[in-house]
Amino acid sequence: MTEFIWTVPTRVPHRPAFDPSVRDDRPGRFTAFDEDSQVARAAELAGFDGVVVPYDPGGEESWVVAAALAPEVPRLGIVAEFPPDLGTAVYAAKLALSFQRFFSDRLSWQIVLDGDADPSLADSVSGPARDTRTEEFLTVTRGVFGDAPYTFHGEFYEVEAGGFFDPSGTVPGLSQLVRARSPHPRVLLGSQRQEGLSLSARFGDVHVFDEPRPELLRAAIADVQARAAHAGRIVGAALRIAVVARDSDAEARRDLSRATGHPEDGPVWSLPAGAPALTFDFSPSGWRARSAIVGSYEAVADQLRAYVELGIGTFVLEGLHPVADAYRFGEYVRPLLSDTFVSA
Amino acid sequence: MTDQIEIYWRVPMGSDSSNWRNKPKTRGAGADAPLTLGYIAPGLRDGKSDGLSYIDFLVEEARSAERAGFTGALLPSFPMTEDPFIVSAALARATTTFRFMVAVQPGFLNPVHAARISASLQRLSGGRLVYNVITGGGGPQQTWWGDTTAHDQRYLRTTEFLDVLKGVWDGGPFDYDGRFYQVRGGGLPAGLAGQPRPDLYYSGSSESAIESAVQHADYYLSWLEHPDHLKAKFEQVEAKAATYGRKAKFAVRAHVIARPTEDEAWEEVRLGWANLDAAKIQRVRREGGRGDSVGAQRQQQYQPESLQDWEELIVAPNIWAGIGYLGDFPTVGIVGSYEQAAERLDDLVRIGADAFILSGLSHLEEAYRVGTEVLPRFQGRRALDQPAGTAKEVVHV
Repeated sequence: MTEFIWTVPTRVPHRPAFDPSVRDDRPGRFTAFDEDSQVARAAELAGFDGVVVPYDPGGEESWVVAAALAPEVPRLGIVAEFPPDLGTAVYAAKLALSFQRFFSDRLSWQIVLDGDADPSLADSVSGPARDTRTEEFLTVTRGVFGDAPYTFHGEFYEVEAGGFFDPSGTVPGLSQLVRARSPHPRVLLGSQRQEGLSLSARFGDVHVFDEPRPELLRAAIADVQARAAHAGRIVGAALRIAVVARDSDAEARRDLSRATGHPEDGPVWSLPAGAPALTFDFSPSGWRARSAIVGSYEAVADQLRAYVELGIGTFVLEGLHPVADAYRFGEYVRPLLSDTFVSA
Repeated sequence: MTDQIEIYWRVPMGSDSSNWRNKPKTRGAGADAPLTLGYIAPGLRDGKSDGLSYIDFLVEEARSAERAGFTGALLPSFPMTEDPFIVSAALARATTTFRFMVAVQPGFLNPVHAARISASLQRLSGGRLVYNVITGGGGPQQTWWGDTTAHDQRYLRTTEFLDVLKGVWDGGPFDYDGRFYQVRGGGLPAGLAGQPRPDLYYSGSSESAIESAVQHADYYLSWLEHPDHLKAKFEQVEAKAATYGRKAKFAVRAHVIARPTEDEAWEEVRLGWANLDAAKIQRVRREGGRGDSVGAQRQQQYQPESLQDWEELIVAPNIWAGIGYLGDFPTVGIVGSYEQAAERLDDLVRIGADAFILSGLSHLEEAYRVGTEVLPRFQGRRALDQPAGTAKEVVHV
């Protein structure tokens, strides 16, 4: 079954003030969370399977947004994206455990793999050590979600007789551990680097691709899945891409062109290599995707179906307007796909 | 930080008991036999889980504390309990005035990300985040968390963590060269900057803890002790604060068993004690002074060499060092009539208390009781002008 995930931006769009002679009760009353709530509710009402809360250094903190939204969208899976230097592996696992218990195991993680040391974030780890740290991080988080006692001594993390669950009830001093097991969050990893593909194969559950070109995407999926098979694992494939779907191709292209300032010729438009990510007035977090499917509802549905046939099982989508495009997708694109692979 | 006395409640983060009588814990996923008939959140419906989780009950606990007049509640953090940041984010939109006093464990979060999480929570809640900075009691619990740093080094790390958190919060670009943290050009993004910084309650009884606390605390927080011991401790902290040119404020954490009469309150203790067995008494005595926590060792001083009965644990009028045997900590608490409980709070104001974190089992029902029966009798700062033992007359409005 194909999975559709919508993106919750974590910055508030600027909403211009009214003339002072016109009554406006908004100032001081609403925050990004009211907007995020409406985006997530839109995704739920429009039939999405989940939402992703991106890590955006300029936006609200993603764990806080994820936990605040979770009770408001009980049908949705929630993907919280965060960098591996957030805190210790045990503490991150503990945050996840509470989330799983409170919100019926709906959490997924997306861990930022790319990037470098950032002294403004008190993160001094650079180069290949970053991948080592992520590897240790996921080793420990999966370890403490396994049977206690769990011990690990690594370069970045240490745990002595740790772990959350003691199903046999035999670990001395950990009698309180005995309780229903919760699942480790599903792990999404996205990076086009070889090391990133290797991490996904060994520690990820789903690899998130940004590659819209069919032949390259097919090869990349085959690469990750071969690596995963080598490690005795199965890793799913996700495509992160924007959708600009309108009544007609011309209307979709006009809207994309107006928002991005880029000419486009559809059906799949991509940012030039090296160009900065796009941001918009009405969605200041901008797009995380580097490409967009542009066109009529039928054209967009056809393109999504083509990606499914290439092996994509999860779409991480965003639109030009995070509320309006979620409803539009649910009303006009999703119904066109129900015959083949979307649950009715 | 205001000049008014602030009274917090506590919310239990893993499970709750329905009363003080040493019965099985029946509330929450961490209860003694979850998914049995009579257990709550999750409960049973048609033989299956009713789909509720402990967060559904925590909402009610927070709402009861809010309605009963408490400023908010302490959300502690232990290996087996739920995480206070997740609970705060999940409860923020379900509450109105309730302040989330989150147990923050420096070293577990990157201080810059901790600042980001806090600023987002301030925006989410309208400025209702408060910190309870805890540096950890050492021992197996500390290494369970993955923390192998030694006692005094942990307090140095806490100092540095708070240096960075405050530096980033107060406006960048912030640079820092510490032993544990190095920052260049740190700050919060425009959307998150400018929020009120959370009040900071700081716990820790050792020399190195007090040294760190007086540099950063808005309130120095201690478990309840014999009032004379507490007075001496507060004086020690005050003197240390003065060497940094700062003035300390004080908070006291205690359980309260208050009933219409003193005898009814002790009757609760008797009923709880009657359900104890020798093994549990031994376990509580063993766990009391574990790790390298000086505060826990100070609590241990009230335990007699051999313990025969609950009355041996009365250390001062209405001050009882046996709460641990009834299933909770800290072990020194207040037991008495509503008037007596209020008078003991008055006494604590007289030795310098500016804030309280109170609690009782069950936290939901007892929040209403203490808020309705004890707090209206509490004189607050007016106690400073009144002789001891004069409780306020309750005015019903």
